[in-house]
Order: sequence, then structure tokens, then C-alpha cells
Amino acid sequence: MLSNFPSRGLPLSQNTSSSPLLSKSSSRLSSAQRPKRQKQLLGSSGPRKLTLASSTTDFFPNSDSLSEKYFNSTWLALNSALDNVFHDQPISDSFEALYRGVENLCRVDKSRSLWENLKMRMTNHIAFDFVKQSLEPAVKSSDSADMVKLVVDKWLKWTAQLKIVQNMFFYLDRSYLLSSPNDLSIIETGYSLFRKHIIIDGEIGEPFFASLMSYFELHRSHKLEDTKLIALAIDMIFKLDVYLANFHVRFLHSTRAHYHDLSEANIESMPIPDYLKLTMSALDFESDQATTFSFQSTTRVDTVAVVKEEMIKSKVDIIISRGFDDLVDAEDTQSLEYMYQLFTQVKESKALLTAFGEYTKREGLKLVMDPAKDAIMVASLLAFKAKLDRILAASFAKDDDFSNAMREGFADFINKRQSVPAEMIAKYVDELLRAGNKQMDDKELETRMWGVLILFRFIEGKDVFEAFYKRDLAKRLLLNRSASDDAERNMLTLLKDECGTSFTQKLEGMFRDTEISRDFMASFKNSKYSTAKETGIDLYVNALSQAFWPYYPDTTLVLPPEMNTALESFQQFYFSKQTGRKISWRHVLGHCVVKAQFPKGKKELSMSLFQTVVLLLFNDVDDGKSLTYEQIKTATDLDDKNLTRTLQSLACGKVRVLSKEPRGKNVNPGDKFAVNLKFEDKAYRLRINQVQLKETPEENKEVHEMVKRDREYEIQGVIVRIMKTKKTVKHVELIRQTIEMTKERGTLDLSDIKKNIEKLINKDYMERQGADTYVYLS
Amino acid sequence: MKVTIDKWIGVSTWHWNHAQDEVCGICRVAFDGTCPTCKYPGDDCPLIIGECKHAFHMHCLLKWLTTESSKGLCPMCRRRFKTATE
Repeated sequence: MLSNFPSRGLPLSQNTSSSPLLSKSSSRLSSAQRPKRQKQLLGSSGPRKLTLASSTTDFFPNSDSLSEKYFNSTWLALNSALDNVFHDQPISDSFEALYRGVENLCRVDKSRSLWENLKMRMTNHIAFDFVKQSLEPAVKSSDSADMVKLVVDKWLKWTAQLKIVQNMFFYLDRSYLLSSPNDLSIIETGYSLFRKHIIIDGEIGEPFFASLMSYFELHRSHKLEDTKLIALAIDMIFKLDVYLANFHVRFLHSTRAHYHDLSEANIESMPIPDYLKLTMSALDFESDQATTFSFQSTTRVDTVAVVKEEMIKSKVDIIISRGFDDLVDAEDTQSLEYMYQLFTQVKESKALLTAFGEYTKREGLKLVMDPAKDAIMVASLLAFKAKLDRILAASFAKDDDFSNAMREGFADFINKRQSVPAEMIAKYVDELLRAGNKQMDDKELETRMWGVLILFRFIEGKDVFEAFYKRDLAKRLLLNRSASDDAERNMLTLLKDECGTSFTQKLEGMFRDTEISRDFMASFKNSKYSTAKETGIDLYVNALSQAFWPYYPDTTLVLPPEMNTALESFQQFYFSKQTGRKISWRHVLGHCVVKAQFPKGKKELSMSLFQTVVLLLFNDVDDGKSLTYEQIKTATDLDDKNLTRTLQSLACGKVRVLSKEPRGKNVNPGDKFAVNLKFEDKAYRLRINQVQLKETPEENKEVHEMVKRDREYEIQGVIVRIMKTKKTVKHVELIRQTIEMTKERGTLDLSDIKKNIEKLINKDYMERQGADTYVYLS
Repeated sequence: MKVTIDKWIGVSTWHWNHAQDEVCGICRVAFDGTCPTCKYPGDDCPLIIGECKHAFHMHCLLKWLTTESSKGLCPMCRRRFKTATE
């Protein structure tokens, strides 16, 4: 410590009054060593201690008057030195002399008075020199006084002065203050005085902090070039120990005010992505600022919390209502991610979750509800789903709650429209699996199947899907239009995994039927029944079990004799192998490969049986001659609907093997048909049986009705099962259980259940007992 | 023009010769379908016709006859069930 003293080399004798005392005290300097020696002696032998101790007391004459005098003169010297220090002037006495003076006073038990005097002197200096003379006038003179600068200046000055004072009174500090429990050290006292008079009491603290806050304000708007002053002020605040009580609170308050204003000014006008970016950068800024000025961690945490509160938490609703939909529409994953992070941090992610769920529902409903867009429904749903998935992954950290909300949204809107989505999904799958759809490879096909299956999962009316899927599958299998067996099987496995074996049992049965038929036909070909040689017709028959396949109505058709022969022989073969069965023909599904010799070349036509039969009629008509609609109708016995479609496909489609008189898109009774002698086409093989693949409105209606019928049977079955176990049951309970048991089939209309209860009562399965109870009748 | 059929892919459905549109009196599934325990219709799950002319899925009826309460009677007409011999 002593080595830090600036050596002024002032002669002691200049202060006459104090010199004898000081010289006396210098002689005592040896006594300062005495306790040390005493200790050393103590260490070797104990008994000597007493003698030495008594001699020590003898050494100090207990004379009050002397010490009083001595004290006053020494204090005078010290006081004038302090005066110099406090006014930044050089000290006239040598530091060493002053130091010794202090030491001597302490030794004569004057520490207390010396300390009181020093404290008084320091208090006066701060209260008068700093506050009254300099700071207060500055506060009063103008509002714009740079209080931070003034106070920090004073602080710097004060700390420098304190250091000198501390050195001067070092002995007091160490020997007396350190061991006195009620007194602070000189430095601490100096700080405490500064704190008391400048920061806490009086009129300086408030303007100082206000001014400091305005510095921060400047800093936030990046207008503050030099942050050194703030750093010094913060350092002072730390040292004065007014950080938490005074600074922290004020700082948070001003931060809140700042971001409150910022948020209010921008929330309505700024685009939401910019607003979110602004918030993010504000958070970064505050965090950096806390580091730069080494704020306490609580301040950093609280500040960041305040920013989030003002910028986000209080504005959650506005942010969502102003920006959310647009962001999702534009797939702004970055902004959505900010939104997700910020909302989660302020524990408002629920609002975002709700918005996301509602968006899914609302936008999805738009895709589903418009009948004009039915054709592209599935494709657009898939695109919609893919987009939301991307957002989920990129913005919402694959949050389970969010993907649940999305799933719920899908399940909700997709079932808002009865049946149609299920139908469209089935048709989409049909298109995927249908031959001629070769533009995608297996992998692409599989991903699409997966995608569509996810949509399928949301569908409640799975029976509708099944009905349409079955119908489409039947056509693919029977008309040989399936793209690949593997793909079909894959799809079947996926459906099985999804809905269980009972769901796919019929579909599997269909595959089995076609396999059985394949084997069966192989043995037919080798049997004596085969008529391929005589008739020239290579007949292949799919013999199906009715239960698995969609229902096809019987149609009348007159076959040419050689076809009949072929058919007969097959039937004979069939009956020879299977007993107890009979066969009905589904000609509407039959198709043929036909060789036709046109004037302009030979063609191989793949066409429906109806088309074939009609075309065969023209074998007996001379070229150029025509047949009327009625003639064809009599010859084939086809009903009007089928005949019209068939003729239309032959005479009005893309490949026109017949010509029609009069020309036109529609076939009407009385129209005349002739072979199109000018027919030509680049390809040798032509396919003109698309008409068979296409679904007619009647077919569509029929499927829907069938589904409805099946549902009724199922409901009735469920009701009977419940009644059978319960015997008597209340109406409400019956309804509840019925819904429970048919849940996986899809939602039921309450009126449907009631209608079927009614039907069962009519059929005497059950009867009413009282107002709300049913009894089972066995 | 001359047209000849090269290949003909026909489609037919088979039915049990007996009672085409009816359902089994026990399981209420169409005869052309299977009894509840079978997966594929056909010879694996044939019909059985009693002397009383009532027909059932064979599996359904045999199951019924093993139960105590059946007393060997036809579930439809309560006459003793005997398989019809054609």
C-alpha cells in the first residue's frame, strides 16, 4: 500500500505544531514492531509475555490532555490535506507524515474521533461540493442537463479522491474500521455517502436515471456512437450497489415503455413478417446490450421477457388475425417459425395452434365443398397436405400438437361433405393404378399411394371408398387395365394395414377369383370342350363369385351363332367341374380383340363385347349400305341405354369405324349407320373400349345407393346384436351403443338409426315397451 | 368390311343352383357369400338343403345342430333336419 504513495518529498518540519509530536511518534515506531516481537517470543516461551505486556502499557503515558492536543494538531494537518485532495490540489505535507499522524492517533485510541471527523469531512464534501455546488444547480438550471455525464464525472473524481484518502488513512482503515463491526471501510463509506446524497436522497437521482434511460433510448435507435459513458455509469451503479433497487426496476420500466410504443406504432401498419423480424432483432439487441454493459442475468432475462410481452404476448390476437393466414398462404416458413418460437416463449402457442387448426379446416373445406372442383379435389388436397407438412417441419419443429391439430382439421373438413371425398379418393387411386398411366416410376407411385392413404385415413365413410374402389378394381381386373399386379397388391396391403382384414377380404376375394379363373381357363383350353379351332374365337372367361364383386345388372344380348357355340361349350366344361352351380353372364364387362379389314388397311381393335356384336352385324351388310338404329336394336336386343353408348363410341368417338347419318355427337332413333370406308389410323392396334371403363352417372348413383343400403343392413345388424344381449334396453342407451359399435364405419345420422329401429319393429325383431324402452323378440 | 373375333374375354358370375337371391336363415349372409367363418365362397363353403327344402350354409347348420337347444330340428320350420337326397 505504502509504495503506492506518490512521494512528494515534503519536509515534515514545515508544520511546526505537529513536528514534536510527530517526532515523538516516530520514536514510537519501534513500538509498532513490539507486538510482533512479542509474538515471536510468545512462540518460544510463554512466561515472558507478562513482563513484556506490562512494560508496553508503561510505554504509553495515559495522558488525556496530551493526546487531545496532539489530536487537534494532527487533524489540522490532515484536514488541510483533505481540503487539497478534495479540490484536486497538491498536498502540502508528505504523505508519509500524514500517514504516520493517522497511525499515531490511532495508537493513542483516537480512532473513533478521527473517523468521526473524517466522515464528517467526506459528507460535507459530497453534500456541499458535489451536490449543492455543482449537481443541484445543473438540475435546476435546465431540464436537458446531461446528468449522466455530470454524475459520472463526479463519480470518477470521487473514486480517485477516495483512493488518496484511503491511502492517507490507511492505518485507520486497517486497524480500527476493519475490526469495528458497526463501521464500514473508508471506500465503502465513501460509496455509501455518494449513494446516499447523490443517488438516493435529494433531487439528483431521478434526473440522473431519467437521463441514463434516454441514453439507452438513443442506443436502441442506434444513435449513440459512444457507449463508454453508459458503461461507466453501469459500473458506478454496480459499485454503489443500487443496481437492483434503483437501476434494474427503472431500466425494465423504460424498456417496457419503449417496446410498448414501438409495438403500438407498428402492429397495425407494419407487415407481420417485418414485425416479427423487428421483434427478433429487438430481442437480439437487448440481449447483446445486456452483455455489452454486463448487466446482471436477471436484468437480461427480465428485459427479454418484457420485450416479448410488449411485442408479442399483448399482441397475439392482432398478429394472428393480421398475418397468420397470409403467411401460411404464402408458405413463409421463416416468419411462421419466428411466430412459433416467439409464441411458444410467451406461452401463447395455443393461439397459434388454434389458428393453424382453423386454417386447415377453413382452407380444406374450400377444396372439398365445391362440386365444380371435384375432379381435382384429391390432387389439391394432397398438395394442401404437403404444404402444411412442409410448414410443420420447417416452422413448427414438427410439434406434435400442431400435427394433431392438422389431422383433426383434415378429419373435420373432409367429412363435412358426404361421401364425395371418399369417392374421389377411390377414383384417384384408380387413376394411379390404371394402365396407361406410365409417366411415373414405381417409387413415385408408392409415394402417391402413401399420400392418398393418409387422406383416406381421415375419411369416416370408408364404406363409400370401398364401394368405389371395388367397382374400379373390378374394371381394372376384368378389362385387363391394371398397370401392374404388384402395385395392386401393394395398395391392397396398405388398405389391409389401415383398416384390417375384414375391410379387404372382398377385395382379396376378387384377386383370388381372377387367379382361379386363370387356372381354370388353362385347363379349359386343353380340354375337349375348347372350340377355339372350330369358331376361331379364343375364349377366356372370368368366373366370379358374386359375393365379392360389385353387382352388375343382367343385360339382354343376342350373340352371333359362333359366339354362342363357344359360350355353350365353356358352360358345359364349367358344369362338368363344378356341381350345384349355375352361371350368369355379365356381358357388359366382356371385351374382345377383333381383326377388321378396312379398305385402307387391316386393324386389330380392342373393344367391348357390345361393340363387337354391333360391328359383327356389318359383316353381312354390303359396303356402302347402312343399318338403322332400329335394325341394330332388333338384331342385338340391347337396351336403348347400352346401345346408344355403344353406337356413340363407334361412330362419334375418336376412332370412328362407323359413320353416322345424320352426323352429330348424339345417337338418336332413326339414325343410319354404315361402315366408315375411309377409316384409317397410323396405329395397327386400336383400343376403343374406353367407354366400358368410364363410369356412367347411373353407375355412380347406384354405388351410392348400394352403400346406403349396406349401411342400413349394418345398422340393423348392430341393433339386433345389442338387443339380443340386452333383451330390454332404453332408447338413449341403444342409440349410444349403436353409434359406438359402428364408429369405425363412419358417422351415422341419428335419424338413420331411428329409421332402422322402426324397420326392425315392423319386422317384429323388437317391440316398444313404454315410452322409451325396447324389448327384443326372439 | 370383314370382322372376325380373335379373342374374347367374357365375364360370368356363378351362383348356387338353389335359391339364388336368398340369404342363409342362420347367418343372414347371401348363399353366394360365405358363412361367417369362411373366407371364400365355393366348394369350401357349400350349401346344405334339408328335406324340408330349407337351405343353409353347411357350416352354419352344422354349428346349429351341435347346440343343445337345437334338438336336431330345422331352425326354420322346427321339423327334424335331414339332408335332402336328390
